[in-house]
Amino acid sequence: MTINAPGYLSPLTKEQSESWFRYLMSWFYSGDAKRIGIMYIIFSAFAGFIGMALSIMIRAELATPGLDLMSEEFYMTLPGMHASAMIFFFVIPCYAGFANLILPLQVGAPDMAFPKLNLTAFWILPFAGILAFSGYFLSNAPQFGWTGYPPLSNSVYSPQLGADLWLLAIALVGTSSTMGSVNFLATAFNMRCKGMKIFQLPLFTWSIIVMSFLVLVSTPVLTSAVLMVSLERLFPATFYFFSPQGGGDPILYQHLFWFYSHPAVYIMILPGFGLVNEIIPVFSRKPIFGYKVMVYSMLAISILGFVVWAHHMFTVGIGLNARKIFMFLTMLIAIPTGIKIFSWLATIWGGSLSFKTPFLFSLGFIAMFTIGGLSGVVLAATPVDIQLHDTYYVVGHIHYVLVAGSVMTIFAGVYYYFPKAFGMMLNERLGQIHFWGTTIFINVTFFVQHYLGVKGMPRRYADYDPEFAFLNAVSSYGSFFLAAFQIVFFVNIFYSMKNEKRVGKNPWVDGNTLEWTVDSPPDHHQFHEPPVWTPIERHHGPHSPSAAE
Amino acid sequence: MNNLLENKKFRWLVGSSVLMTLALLFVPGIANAIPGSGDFISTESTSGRAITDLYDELVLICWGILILVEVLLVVAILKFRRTKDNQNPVQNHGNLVMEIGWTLAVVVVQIYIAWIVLDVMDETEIMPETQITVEAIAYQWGWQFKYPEYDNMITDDLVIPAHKNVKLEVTSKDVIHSIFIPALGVKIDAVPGRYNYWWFNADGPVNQVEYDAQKREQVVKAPLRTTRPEIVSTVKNMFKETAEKNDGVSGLERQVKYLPKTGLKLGEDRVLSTSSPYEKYSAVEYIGMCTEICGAGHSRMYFRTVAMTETDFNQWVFDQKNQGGAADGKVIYEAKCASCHGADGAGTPPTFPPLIGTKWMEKANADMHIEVVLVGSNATSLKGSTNILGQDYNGVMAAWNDALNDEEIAAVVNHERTSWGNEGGEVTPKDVAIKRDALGLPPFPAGGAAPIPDAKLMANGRDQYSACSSCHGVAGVSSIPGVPNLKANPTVLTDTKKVISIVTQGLDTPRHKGSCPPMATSSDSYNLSSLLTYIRKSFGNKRSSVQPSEARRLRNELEK
Repeated sequence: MTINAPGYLSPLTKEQSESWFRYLMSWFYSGDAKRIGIMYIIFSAFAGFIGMALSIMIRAELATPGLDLMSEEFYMTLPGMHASAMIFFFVIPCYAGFANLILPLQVGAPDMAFPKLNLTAFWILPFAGILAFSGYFLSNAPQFGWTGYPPLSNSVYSPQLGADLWLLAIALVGTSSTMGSVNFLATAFNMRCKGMKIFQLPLFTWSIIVMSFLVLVSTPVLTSAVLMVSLERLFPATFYFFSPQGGGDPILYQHLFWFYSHPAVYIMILPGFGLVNEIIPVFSRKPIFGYKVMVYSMLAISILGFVVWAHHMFTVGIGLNARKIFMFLTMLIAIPTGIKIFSWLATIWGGSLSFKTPFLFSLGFIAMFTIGGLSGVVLAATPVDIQLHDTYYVVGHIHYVLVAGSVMTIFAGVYYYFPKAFGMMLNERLGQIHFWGTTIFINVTFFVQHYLGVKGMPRRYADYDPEFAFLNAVSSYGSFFLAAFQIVFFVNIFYSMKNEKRVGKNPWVDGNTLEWTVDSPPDHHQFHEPPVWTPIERHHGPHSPSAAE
Repeated sequence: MNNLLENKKFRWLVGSSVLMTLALLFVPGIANAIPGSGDFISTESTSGRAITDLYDELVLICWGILILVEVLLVVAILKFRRTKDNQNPVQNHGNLVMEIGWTLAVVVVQIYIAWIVLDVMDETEIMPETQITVEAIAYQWGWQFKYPEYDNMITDDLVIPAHKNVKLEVTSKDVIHSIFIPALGVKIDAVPGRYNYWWFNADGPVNQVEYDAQKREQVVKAPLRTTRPEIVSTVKNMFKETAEKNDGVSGLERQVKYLPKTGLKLGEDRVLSTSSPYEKYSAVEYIGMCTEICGAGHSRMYFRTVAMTETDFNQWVFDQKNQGGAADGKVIYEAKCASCHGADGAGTPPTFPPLIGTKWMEKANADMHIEVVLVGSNATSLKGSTNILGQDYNGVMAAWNDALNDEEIAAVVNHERTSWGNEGGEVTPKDVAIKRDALGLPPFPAGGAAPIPDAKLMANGRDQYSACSSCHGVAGVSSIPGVPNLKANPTVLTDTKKVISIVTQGLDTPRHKGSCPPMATSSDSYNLSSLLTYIRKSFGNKRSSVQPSEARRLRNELEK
């Protein structure tokens, strides 16, 4: 038996090509950013599957009023664990995977700057994942939501061992993503190829740079907050950071938590912007509209993202003037976001559009992310936010941002880069079915949640007023179909792997960044000769009349 | 053209675009057509309405922007698809003027939004003069409401007088909770170790003239908008049948409503299988809950918010204070009777008679005694001769029937009959209730009077109306020039206080000089409320009944 695979997938030694075990071990020990990236994405797909299963349990319980399927104690673990699975183990690692796979290729580097650091950063994650979810098998999982506000999360009100492990896992995830971002920044700043100045970087790389800055600045704050809670839990009656009994303040935790978790929203969407920035020009046969403005608006989003955290806390009793300032700063974020939306529309406008699956997902992202952005504008208005705070309106909003935003862009990225990563196309017909099912049922599932919130249904309720029964049923059945359509995606991967449709260097024809100049899949150290970058102003792709001359 | 239609890709394209439009607009559209969805529900308090108006305006702006983006997207998708002729599009890298243009457009929209929001923030958050303070104390998993102005009384439900500025001081005993009353626009976190405050001014059972006038102004100034286009409401009404057809009720005057008796879970052990404990008061209930995750019982932290008329609130406070222990006759006597009859029952001749050894205190005359307390000087035993134990008395005694309930009257009567050497024996609250009925007085059991059934008020009201029918007509249609019809009369329909002022004080304005004499000056609250109920519910008028307590309150306000 011999293992045959092209490019970086190929075994490096004879032993590896003869034994599956050795071949797998060579992946596990690999410093190759592409292999690490693939492992990141596979891990995140697994976590995403768990998160989806948890969300299905939530929606099944909420399909009808009354406690039908589970106890309140068990239900209370679900929203928090669903959110942790999706945020910490699905979306963030998935983007890290794309960055590992693509960023070195895009800047013309043979690998990441620190391969071993890269591997360490990845291998922290599976163990953190096991820790976070071990609560379900040990005693009981934490019941305080992903926000983990003390005093609810301290040892008095949440004595579960699972809660301690979960807090530890969050600290580990923070460590992992900090290691990852150091690596991305070092690679992007120091290992660019000839001709690639900082304002010549492809926009996906730019988005990873901005994301890495966000991670570097904000993650330590979350880690410290989580460690403070852990100290309070592990040494009861010793530390009173957040307990009023000992002079602490529960609100301090919320400030620390949201100082990380608001930027985390941008950590979870900026790489998605980057992927869409790559995909739209290729399928429109037009360069991105306003490259520099796109970069500046990303930078503006990242800076503003640090000064708006208190808008998650409008109801905790912050002074009126402070809330006015935070509201104003929050509204400013709509400006760079609006610029990006209009720039994408302007890129499409006048192009030659080819509706392949990655492009469909990108268009669906623009169409639906706008809804999430606009409900964000409604939520920014303080009096309205106070009414909608902690209701299903917020649930609807965050899912329009994270599902219609992050998840749609992740799928766009997977369909777009699959040929580059594995050297074969994903089936187009199945991809389109997947797209339409996902798009339609995202709207069915999450749009009605706005109405639930407006009518006053609080979130994290195991049981609710029968008045809300109909809209909850719509949302629940929508989510079942949404989950069912994700099966199409996995079917597509297996089907396409089986019916190998080999592709060349540039399967989407119009790709003109450096990753499309190497083989699919690329070799272990990708470039056979040091690449040279043509400035973006002259970058019109092989289809353009000037290139044809 | 034929080629184009046979082109598989083109068919895919058209199909995709249509499906995409449907997915984006149809699904939200369906959700929008569900009755009641999409309406912001903070409409029962002054600040809530300000927030609702703001929300409606923001949603209109956002729908506008959303439709703009989606239309641009769909047009681009249809117009710029790849065809044989559209293979090599014109290349451009941006356009500074356009970029500055849409940046400025977004800035302008945002500044406008910030401007209107700041206005509403000041309006809803800067509290006017506090009229009542309630402490809300959250715990796992329930609420306590403490009334510092009423001897720190503690209750499970938030009971407040309507149309008063209520200051909520919110804190928690354990973890963070958040008080949420959607209909009133109330939400603030309950954080252990600190007090947060929020204020509101709830509508409650609307019957107040000043408030009506204010509301009418508001309607002219800022009508409540709905986010749905008209066509949707038309479709909605098709499903709704006539149940909620607006029959000209302005929404200002509503039937007193209570939370549903069954089906609504108000906490695990408070499932409402029986009726609301507040049915005997003139009150509107709003549901309240917790919105900050606080452990397993998070979804069971419901409480009632009960907005009462001021008199009913006072009655409720009284009932709360007197529940548990029986009414203390001595206390009531000293508070209500001693000022005239003396702490020792000796009276103050020649105005107020003594209570010692009189015929009312004899065993056989317990009924007579109760009657005097109920109706005061109007009692049959006091008609004509007021010679008691050889002395004439000229004082006037107040009627206590609508100030003291059966239990209290029995207690005070018993106190009088067994003190100072009297040996009259005891009466029971039931005796008082029977006497009330015999005298045609509305019932008033301990714990507050149940609302008088409309039929009873109507029957009594028909008798009262006979004094008015000579001018206003038996059918509410006047045959005398200058005398208004009561049928569909706007004052009768909307302004209860004004009607009370006409029937008790007469109408004497420059326009209607001496036109309506004060017909009901000597009517008690029961007769007055019957009369009002009769004219509000007869001649084709369809308005709520007026309970005696409400009539009394409005009359007191007029006479102040």
